[in-house]
Formats: sequence, structure tokens, C-alpha cells
Amino acid sequence: MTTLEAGAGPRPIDRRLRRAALLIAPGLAIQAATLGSSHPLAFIVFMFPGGFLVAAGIVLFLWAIASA
Amino acid sequence: MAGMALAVTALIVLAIALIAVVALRPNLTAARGGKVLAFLAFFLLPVLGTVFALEAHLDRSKSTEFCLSCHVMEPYGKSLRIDSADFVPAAHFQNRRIPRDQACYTCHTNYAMFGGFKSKIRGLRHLYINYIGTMPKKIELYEPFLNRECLHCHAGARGYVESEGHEDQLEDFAAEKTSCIECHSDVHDVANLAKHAVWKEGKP
Repeated sequence: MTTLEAGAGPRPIDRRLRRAALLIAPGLAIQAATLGSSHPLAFIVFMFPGGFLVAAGIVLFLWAIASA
Repeated sequence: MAGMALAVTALIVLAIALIAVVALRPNLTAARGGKVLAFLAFFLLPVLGTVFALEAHLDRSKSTEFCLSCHVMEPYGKSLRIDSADFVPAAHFQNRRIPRDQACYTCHTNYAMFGGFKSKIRGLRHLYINYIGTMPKKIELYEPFLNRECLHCHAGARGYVESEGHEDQLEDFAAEKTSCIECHSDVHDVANLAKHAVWKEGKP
């Protein structure tokens, strides 16, 4: 018989941090990829998928630490 | 410019690496050092990376290459190679009176307070129109071309002050009472590009 110890499972903040990571890391990767081009489309991709993902991830991170 | 992009890329790669560490080992954040690491990885570095990358993009948006990326601007790029000293943009471009790599921006930005900011807002509008909106049939300036933009460079220059026809009107030019364009009226002339000889060197 196993006994579950209190606090042994993932904390809610851990899940939120992972979700924030899944938003921020791809967003930053997209932003870095656009730095190689001077085309206007590169700027749009930087702003919209890139900037949006990073902003959403940062908000999620701040929410995670505020609610912890 | 390339150095700036490289530095921003390095900052972003560092942020992604730290994010991966915290995401894979979230229990690190139980300790004080882990909390600082998470703050760096999830907040400070992404914000700095985004701000510096935005700065790099905005700086590139001043480039002639950027402006001429839109098909509608191609004739204006070609007009910079009209082989005639009478055409103001062509003469400025070919004689390096303006930096060739920022030819459009140098003359079409607004040399007043917040002019650079306004130019960038206009640029965003142009992106919207180019990709999503409706292109106007005729490309026109938002407002008449002001002497202020010419005088940003020419004011006080000997070639301008002592030039015949300028000497007695300097105050009028400065006060925008007489437009530079009234005499120097040959500008891009995109409607008649085919009629002009083309300077072969120095592609925009």
C-alpha cells in the first residue's frame, strides 16, 4: 500500500509555469527567427504570433506567481 | 545592425534555455534562487528581448529595401535611378546627398517633435493597407511636402544660401510661404518612368 504524501504531486504553479513556458519560448523563437529579415512580413510575424505569444505567456506567469 | 540582431538573438536563446530549465525542473522555484531564476526567465529576459528586437525591426523599417518590398513602391524605387539632375529624389540618391540605404525615410520622415514616431505609426498603417486593406489608386502624400524636411539638411548650407534665386527668399522658405517644390517640381514622376533614361549603377 502506498501513501501519498502531502505536497508530493505537482503544484498548481508548476503547471502554470509550464504553460507559460509553452507560450513564451515559441514566441521568443519566432521573434528571433524574424530578426534575419528586413521584409515587412517579418515585422508582422514578429508582432503578431511572436509578440502575442510572449505577452500571453508573461501574463500567465504573472498570474501564476500572484495566485501562488 | 547585424551585431544588434546577433546580440538580441543571443539574449533570446538565453531566455529560452532558462525557461526550459525552469519548465523541466519547476521545483527549483521552491527556493529563493529559483524564484529569481524564474523571474529572469519568464519576465525580465523576454521583455528585454522583445523590446530590443522591436527596436531592431523599427530601425530596419527605415531602410530603402524595406520600403521597396511592397510592389506598389517599386516605381518609386526606380525613380531614384532616373538619369537626370533635375529630378530631386534621383539627384539626392545618386549623389549621396541622402544615405542610399535610408533614402525614402530620410526625405519622407517628419523632422518635428515625435516625427519619427509618427512615421512609424504611418508605416504600420501602410502595412495594414498593403496586406489587408485596399490600396488607393493613386499614392499621395498625407500632407503637402514641407520645406522643413528639405531645410533639415539644407538650411545654412552655402550651396543653398548663396544659390541664385534663394538669397532673397530665405525667410519665405523658412516660413513655408514659398514651397521648395514650386521650383524643384521634378520629383518621382512614376507615371512617365518609361520616358526617362536610367542610371545603371547603384541599385536602390
